[in-house]
Amino acid sequence: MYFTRSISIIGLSSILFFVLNCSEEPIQTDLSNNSQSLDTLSLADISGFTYQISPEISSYQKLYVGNNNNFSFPISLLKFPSNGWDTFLDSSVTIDSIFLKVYSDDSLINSDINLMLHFSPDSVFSEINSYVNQFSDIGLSQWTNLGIPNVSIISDTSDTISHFQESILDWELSDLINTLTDTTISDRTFSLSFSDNMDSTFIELYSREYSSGGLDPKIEVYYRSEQESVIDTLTRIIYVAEDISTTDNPQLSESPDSSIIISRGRGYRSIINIPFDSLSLPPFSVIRYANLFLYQKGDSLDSFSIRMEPLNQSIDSIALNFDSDPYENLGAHYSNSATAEGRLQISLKSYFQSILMVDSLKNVGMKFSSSINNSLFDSVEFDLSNDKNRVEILYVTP
Amino acid sequence: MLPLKKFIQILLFISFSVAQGPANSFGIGNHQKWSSPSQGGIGSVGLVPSFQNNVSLSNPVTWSNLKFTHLSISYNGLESEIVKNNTNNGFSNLQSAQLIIPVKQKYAFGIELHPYSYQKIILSDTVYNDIIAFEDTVSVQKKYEQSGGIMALDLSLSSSLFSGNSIGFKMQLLFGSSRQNKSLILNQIPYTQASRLNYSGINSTLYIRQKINLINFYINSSFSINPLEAIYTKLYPFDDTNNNGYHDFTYNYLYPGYDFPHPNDVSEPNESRITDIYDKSSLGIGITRKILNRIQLSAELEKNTDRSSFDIRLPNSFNYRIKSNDNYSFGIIWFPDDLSFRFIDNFTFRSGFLYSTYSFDEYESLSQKRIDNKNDITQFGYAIGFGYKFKAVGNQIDFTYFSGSRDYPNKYNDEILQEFQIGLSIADIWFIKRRQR
Repeated sequence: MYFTRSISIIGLSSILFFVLNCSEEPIQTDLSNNSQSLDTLSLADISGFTYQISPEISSYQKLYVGNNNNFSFPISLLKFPSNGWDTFLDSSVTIDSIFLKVYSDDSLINSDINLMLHFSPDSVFSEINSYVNQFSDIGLSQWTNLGIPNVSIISDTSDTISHFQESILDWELSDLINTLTDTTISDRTFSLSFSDNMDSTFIELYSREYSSGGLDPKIEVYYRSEQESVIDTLTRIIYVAEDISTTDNPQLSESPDSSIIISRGRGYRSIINIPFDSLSLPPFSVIRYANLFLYQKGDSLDSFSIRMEPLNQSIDSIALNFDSDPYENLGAHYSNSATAEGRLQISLKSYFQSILMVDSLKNVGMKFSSSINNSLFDSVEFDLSNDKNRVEILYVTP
Repeated sequence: MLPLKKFIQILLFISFSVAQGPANSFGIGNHQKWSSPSQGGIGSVGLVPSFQNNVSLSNPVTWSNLKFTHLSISYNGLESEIVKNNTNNGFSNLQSAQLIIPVKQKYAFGIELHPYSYQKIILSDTVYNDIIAFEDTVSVQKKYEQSGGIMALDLSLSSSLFSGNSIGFKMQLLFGSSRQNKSLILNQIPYTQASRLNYSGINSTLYIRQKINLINFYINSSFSINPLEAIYTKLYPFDDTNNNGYHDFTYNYLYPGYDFPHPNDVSEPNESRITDIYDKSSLGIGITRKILNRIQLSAELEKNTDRSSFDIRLPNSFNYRIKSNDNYSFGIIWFPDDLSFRFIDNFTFRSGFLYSTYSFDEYESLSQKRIDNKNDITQFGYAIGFGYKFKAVGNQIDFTYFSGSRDYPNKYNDEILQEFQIGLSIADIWFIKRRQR
C-alpha cells in the first residue's frame, strides 16, 4: 500500500512538472509561400470644387457687431424665453430696476460706444432655422429704441495688481417692464447694432455658446416681494434663449479655377473627388494608411482645422449657393486634421477601407469643411493644380 | 491516496494544452502515436499485447482477456528540440480516457476519447529586408500560428469466435477544430488572416487475432467510412494592432491602438465545406511470441496511406501533407506473475524500438498539382517503461519514457523528441453476477 501511494504521488508530480515546463518558442522557418505582401498606391488625379452655404450663425461663440476683416455684421439678435415672467404679475411684487447685460473680453471699450439696443415683441429669428439672407431687411425703425449702454469694467483685485476680467455693457429696461412682464407676449427679441455703419466700428460679445451661464447675455430683474408685512429684496436672472449675429455675406458667383476654398465665416465648403473604388486594391486588402496631401495656395495658414466627411450621395446640381448644405454626409468614416507647413495631410484610411469592404458604399466624393474651432475670419485655399497633391496608400494584400 | 474523482478532475483541467513541433503543420497535423503508456512502452502500433498479459488497450480483440472492467486515463508530456534552430518546445496533454468492459471473457465493449492529431504550431520567418514605402521604412516579418486539433471518440466491439481466434471492430468518430492566424508583421503590427476549420469524419478498423501454435498473429485494417471534411471559415483580414491574436476592439497598453478595420465593419466570414481532407487506409500486422513464460517478444508493421485529394484551400503553412507513413516496431515485455505474492512480481517492464518513415507531397502552384517529395521524413526512437499492478482486481499504473529523433530532409536537419507518459487503470467488476447474501 505504501509503495502504491508513493508511486501515485510520483505520477501526479510528474504531470505537474510537465505542465509547468510547457514552453512555446516560435520555430524559425521559411514562410515564403505565405503570399501576404505589402504594396503602395499613389493617386494624383484629385479634383474638386467649392460651394457656399449660409454660414452657421447660431454656433458662434461670440456675437459680432460692426465691420472687421472684410466681414460685416449689421446686427446681433438676442431672444429671451417667454417663461419666468409671471412672477412679476403678482400684486405683492414691485420691480425696482431691470437691466439687460452683455459681456465682452475687450478692455478698451469706450464708455460712449454707440451700440444701440432695440426691442421687438416679435419672434424675428430662430437659431436653428434662420439663414443670413433672411435678415437683410430688418427695419429697426419699427423697434423700440433703448439707447446706448453703460460700460463698466470688472477686474480681479485679489492680487496687488488688478487684472481685467470682462467688460459689461448694460441697458436699463425700466420702460419695458410692462411689456416684458406681459405674459400674453410670447417673444422678447433685442437687437444690438451701431447707429452709424462705419468701417472701424466693431465689437465682440460673448454669446450663450461661449460658456454656461456667467457670461451669457441676460436680463437681471431686481424686485421686492411683500408677504404679510415682510419685504424680501430679490433678484431674478433670465438668460438669453437664442442669439445670433447677422452678416452681409457676398455670394460665391463661381467656383475658383484650380483651387478650393474653405471658410467658416463665408460658409465655403468644398467637395473633393479622388478616383478610388472597390477595385482599386486587391480583394481583402487592409489599408495600413491612406493620407491625402493637399498644398495650400499663396500665403499658408497653419493650424486651420478641417473636417472631412464622406458624402452619402452626389447631387445633380450646378448651383454653388445654398441656404442649407445639400450634400448629405455619410455619417461615418470622417476625419479631422489641421494645416501645417503649407499643406493639409488628412487620413482617408477608414473611408477607403470601407469602400473596399462594403459593396453598397460608393465613393461619391468627400466634403471638406472648416472646424467649428477656427476663427470666423480665417480661410484656406488649396491649389488643385499643384503637382504634389496626392493620396498615398500603404496596404497589405492576402 | 488521492481519490480517483479528484485525479480525473485534475487531468481534465490541465489537459488539451498546447503542442509544438514541425510535424504539427503537415497536413492535418501530427497524428497521435500512442494512446497509453503501455502501448508506448514498446513503441507499439497498438496491435500486440502491452498492457497486461494478452491484453492491449488499443486492440479490441484482446479485451476479452481482461477479467474486470477497466477505466484508464493517461497523460503525456513531450519535448521537441530543433537542433538547427536551437528551438525548444514542450507540451503536455491528456493522452486518452478509456473505458473497457469485458463480458464473460468472450465479448468486450470499449469507448475511448483521445486526441487524433495535434495542430498547435507557431512558425516565424524573420529573414526579410526592410521595405521603403513612400518615405517610411517598414520592417517585415511573417508568422503562422495554428492551434487546436482533431479529437477521436472510439467505439469498439470484439468477440471471441473460437479458440485462439477473435475479431473486433472499431468505429472512430473524428471531430474538433483548429484556428489559424497567418500574419505579415509590419513594424510590429501584424496583418492577420484568421481562419477556422471544424472537422468531422468517420474511420473504421477491423481487428483479427489468430493464434497458431505458440505465435499470436494480430491484423488490423482501417479505412475511412466518411473521409475527414471540414467547414472552413475564412475571416476578413485585419491589422491586429493590440497584438492579442483576435479581431476585437480592446485596448492594450503594451501595444496601443485598436484593431483595424473595426470588427463590426467587416463582412461576414466566408464559409465553405472542404471535403476529402484525409482518407485513411491502413494495414497492420503484429506477431508475438512468448519465451520463458513471462517474456513476450513482438514485432509490428503498419502501413498508412492518405488517399485524399487534400484541397489547396486548406490553410497549411508548409503546404506539405503526409501522404503515407510506415511504422516498424520491435518490443520486449516482462509481464507480472499473477500467481505470485512477491512485490517484484507485480511489475511489468517494457522496452522497444520504433522506426517510421513519412512520405509527403506539396502543392506546386505552377502545375497546380500535388508533387511527391522524394525525400522521406524518418523517425527512430526507443522506449522503456514499467507498470505496477496493485490490488486484487488488477489496478495498474504505468510509466514510459520515449526518446527519438526525426529527420526532415532539407528542412530542419533534426528534431529530437522526448516523451514521458503516465497512465492509471482502475479495475472493477461489471456484468458478473454477485453471490446472494
